[in-house]
Amino acid sequence: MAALKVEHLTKDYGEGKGIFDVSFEIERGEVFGFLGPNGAGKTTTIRHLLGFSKPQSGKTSILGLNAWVNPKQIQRNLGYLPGEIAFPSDMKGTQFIKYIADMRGLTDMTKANKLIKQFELDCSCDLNRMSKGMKQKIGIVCAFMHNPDVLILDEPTSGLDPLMQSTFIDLIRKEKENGKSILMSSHMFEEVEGTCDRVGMIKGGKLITIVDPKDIRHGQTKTFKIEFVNHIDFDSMIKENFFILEKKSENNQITLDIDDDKINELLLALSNRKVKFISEIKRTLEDYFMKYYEGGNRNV
Amino acid sequence: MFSKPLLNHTIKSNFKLFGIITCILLLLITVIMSVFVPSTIEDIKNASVGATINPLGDISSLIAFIANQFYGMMAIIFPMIYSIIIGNKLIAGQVDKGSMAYNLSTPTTRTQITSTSALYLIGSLVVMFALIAFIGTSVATIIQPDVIDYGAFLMLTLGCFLLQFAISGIAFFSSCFFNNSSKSLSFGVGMPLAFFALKLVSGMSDKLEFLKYFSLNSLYDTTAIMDGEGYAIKLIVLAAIGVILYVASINVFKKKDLPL
Repeated sequence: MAALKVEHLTKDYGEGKGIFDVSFEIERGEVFGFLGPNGAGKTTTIRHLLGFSKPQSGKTSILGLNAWVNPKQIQRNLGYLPGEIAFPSDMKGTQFIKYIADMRGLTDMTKANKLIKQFELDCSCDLNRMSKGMKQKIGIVCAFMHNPDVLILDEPTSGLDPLMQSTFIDLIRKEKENGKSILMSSHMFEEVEGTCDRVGMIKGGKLITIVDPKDIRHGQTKTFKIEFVNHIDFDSMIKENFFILEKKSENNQITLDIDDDKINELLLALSNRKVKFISEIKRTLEDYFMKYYEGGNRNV
Repeated sequence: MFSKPLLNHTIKSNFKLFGIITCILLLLITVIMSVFVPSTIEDIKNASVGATINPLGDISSLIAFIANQFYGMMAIIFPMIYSIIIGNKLIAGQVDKGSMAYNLSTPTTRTQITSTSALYLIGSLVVMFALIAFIGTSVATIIQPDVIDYGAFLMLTLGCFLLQFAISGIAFFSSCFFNNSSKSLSFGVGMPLAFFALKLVSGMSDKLEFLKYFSLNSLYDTTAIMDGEGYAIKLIVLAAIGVILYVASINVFKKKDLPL
């Protein structure tokens, strides 16, 4: 049984907004990244998984339970971190954590206290005076403290400083080791790249592709940036039959894509010219994503 | 059905406003019950003899003064403000702000949230009016025993509570129906205020008297209660309206899409 399942989910808000026929599954012990620009439909999908919205067609389920029909049973075993955190204004951090624990009927605060320590959280002040990062930490504590089997995290690292981001990534890895299933939405590539087993890309409400980040990093095509000493070499290089992505004539620089099996052709072409430097540009999920993102008019 | 932690939290976070409104009303009823002894009533009556308009309405006795002033104005407006503010805050305010997501991400159903909130709103009004009845009768008994018709006073209090129950039902329904706090407020404020204004205007001239048929507030008929007849059915209708609105609120909220 999949930990989390989205089947042909459609919700049309009109004017092309909404999500259309989105399907994916998350296995137990899997971390799934959900990547897309703002307004792509990530939060809408999550809303359906939490039972906040009723699907127009299709179905969402968590641990085999329908998200719209059985939210109460699901919530016992689900941790949720909202994308836009809004707390009641009249509470202190400690009071809020206690309140959520009471609402869950949770008495064992070991994990909550451990997380508070781990994230160096001082939750003694009023919630509405807290910085974005501190609120985010409180949200993280509330999502993880009851040790749920499934976690849905909407842009979890936003507002966290780099140190805390890495603390968070450690936490995700540890939860994964313990067999937790995690859905993590993001518009930041670094965030999902390092932690996720698979990454689904959503744009315009449609799930475009699901990729394994490892495949991208070990792709068959590489990108190089080359700068020439003089303009003549630069000019003649452009006329050669390479797939040039970018050229900057003011500093005689080009960026090109080359397949591994054609690398010798590039080396041959470069051997006749005066090269100032050559460097490989690491392919990231971002590049891969941008191909789809800019798409629409390109090849999607 | 209800969530105890949510109820505790709701009581705590709304205690200040509840306290202020209740204190104002208790202070007013105490003052009225202790200041307007028969001789004072007589003086006021004599002072207004010959005046073409009497802005205070019928003030020939203490109970008439209470019916027209306290239960005609003060005990209508203050609890109405309370119901509107709290009604909006309980549901729509939290949905709009997004903090409702936290309640719903615990094993608590939407119905538990709405019914607990409704329980608080209704319960706090019960406490408010019970205190008015208790303090009102106590002060009257101490300062001027046997002057006031206790039965009529208690019935006026019960009637006013039922009116507030219906008004809070409007505010609560609007809060459950709209996702947006400002929309919820404009409906939740607009309707009760319009009813209040219609009732007020209808009393100003005979030509405008027909307007009272468009006002919910007319169902709380203080004159009929004073006369001792013909008020019961109206109060039952008020109670029924309140029940229907609350039940509808819970059902609407259960089925709708939440932008959280």
